[in-house]
Amino acid sequence: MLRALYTAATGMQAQQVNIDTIANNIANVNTTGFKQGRAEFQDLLYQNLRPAGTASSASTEYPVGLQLGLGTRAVATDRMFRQGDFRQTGNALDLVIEGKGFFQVRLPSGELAYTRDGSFHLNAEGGVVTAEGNPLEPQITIPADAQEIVIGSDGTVSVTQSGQANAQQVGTIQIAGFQNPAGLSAIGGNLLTPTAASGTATTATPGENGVGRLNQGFLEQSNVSVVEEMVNMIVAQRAYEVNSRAVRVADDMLSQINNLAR
Amino acid sequence: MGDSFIDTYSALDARLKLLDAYANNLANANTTGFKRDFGHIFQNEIGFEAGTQIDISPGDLSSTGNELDAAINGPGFFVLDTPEGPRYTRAGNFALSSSGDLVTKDGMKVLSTSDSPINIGEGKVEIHDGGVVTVNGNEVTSLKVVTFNDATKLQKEGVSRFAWNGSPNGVQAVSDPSVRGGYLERSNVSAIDEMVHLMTAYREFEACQRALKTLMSDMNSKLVQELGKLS
Repeated sequence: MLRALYTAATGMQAQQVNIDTIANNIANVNTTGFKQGRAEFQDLLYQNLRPAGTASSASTEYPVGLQLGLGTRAVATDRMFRQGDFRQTGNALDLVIEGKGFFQVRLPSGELAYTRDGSFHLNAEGGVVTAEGNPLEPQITIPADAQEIVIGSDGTVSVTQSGQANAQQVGTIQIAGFQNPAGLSAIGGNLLTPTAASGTATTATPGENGVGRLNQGFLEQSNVSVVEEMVNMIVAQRAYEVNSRAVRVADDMLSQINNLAR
Repeated sequence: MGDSFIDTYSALDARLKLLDAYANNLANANTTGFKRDFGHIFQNEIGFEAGTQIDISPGDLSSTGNELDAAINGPGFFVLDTPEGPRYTRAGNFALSSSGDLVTKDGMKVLSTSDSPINIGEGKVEIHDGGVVTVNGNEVTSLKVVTFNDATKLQKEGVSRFAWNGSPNGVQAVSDPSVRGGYLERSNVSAIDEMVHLMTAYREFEACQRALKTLMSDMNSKLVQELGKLS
């Protein structure tokens, strides 16, 4: 009897996880390079009260059994790496990766982190950094007297300095690819770090070895679709509702059993 | 105590089991590839009993656009290599392992038509009709899809997996399965139907409870009368 109460409770918990994920998606609908999350569920264990095929008499057997499930659980929050829409900004240090791969940035701790957010800036020393000030890896420094910055689709960064006619190459942006990008762990600030499941990063020149090409002057918008999230939210809310209803029915039945002996 | 008492009690107990089954269906209303259990009640020599059977009717397919999602549009199950042997699933929300194999969300390898794990490596993965897997446009392998000659011999193991209890001959590979990449099969639980089943079981339970109460008060008063006669 108590099974139904706990089973329905697992359903309610799972829908809470679902709503949490949807809320985070909606909150990040305007976050550059954000990738939509999706909560995934699996059914829990089953109690085999009477397996199918057990004998119902010496010569006959039950054709079907009695298997009672114990509910559901959230097994993963998956990240959907669908390409987001491109938005033209005209800013020379705004980059999108057209295809797979991540920009590599160096954290203050010295570790590497990965991001799809290509809105870069210059720091006081002329280094190319993220909005939070983490430098791009390998580091690229733009001379103070640079008039124009051009970044090619293969990642070559060249600048035209004042008084010079020809552009000069100052570095190359590398793109990191992962065997299993869904296994990366988000640490906030649009950054991802590798885990045992993601595998190690392999860096490549943009456009080679399966990683995407670069586009200058564009930003990748969040790939969250508000309409889809709203529909998911309605489904999750209704699922929550029916599970809470099942809790009430189970509770009612318990109280009726209590009423048997009066 | 007469037969009617045991009949009524077992009928009440059977409804409690049905409630458990329907609560589990409702809890999994959003579980990818979930198959609901339908409950039924039958009479045996001593009273009533509840039984469950897996309803393998298809769930709705919904488009996700995720390249590693696959759904079977029609009969059949994907085949997984687990430590306990082959297992079967309709949940096609696959992922890649750190070594580049196609796996389920709990890390079980998905098998190809040649019964080997599917190694993707790096590149753009696409799953086409017929279960064909391509990486960067080149055909790598095909997903194995099987059907069973007797669905009642399937047993649920949780974590979206099914085990086969019949003879090995009962498993047949589907030669040209209708597999859709970028789609997932939703749970085949309909919240409305499930609520109707739940409420029906509840009202039947209520009726049994009333009958049981009447029987008990009947018995009690008889007991008092008979005992009164003895003294």
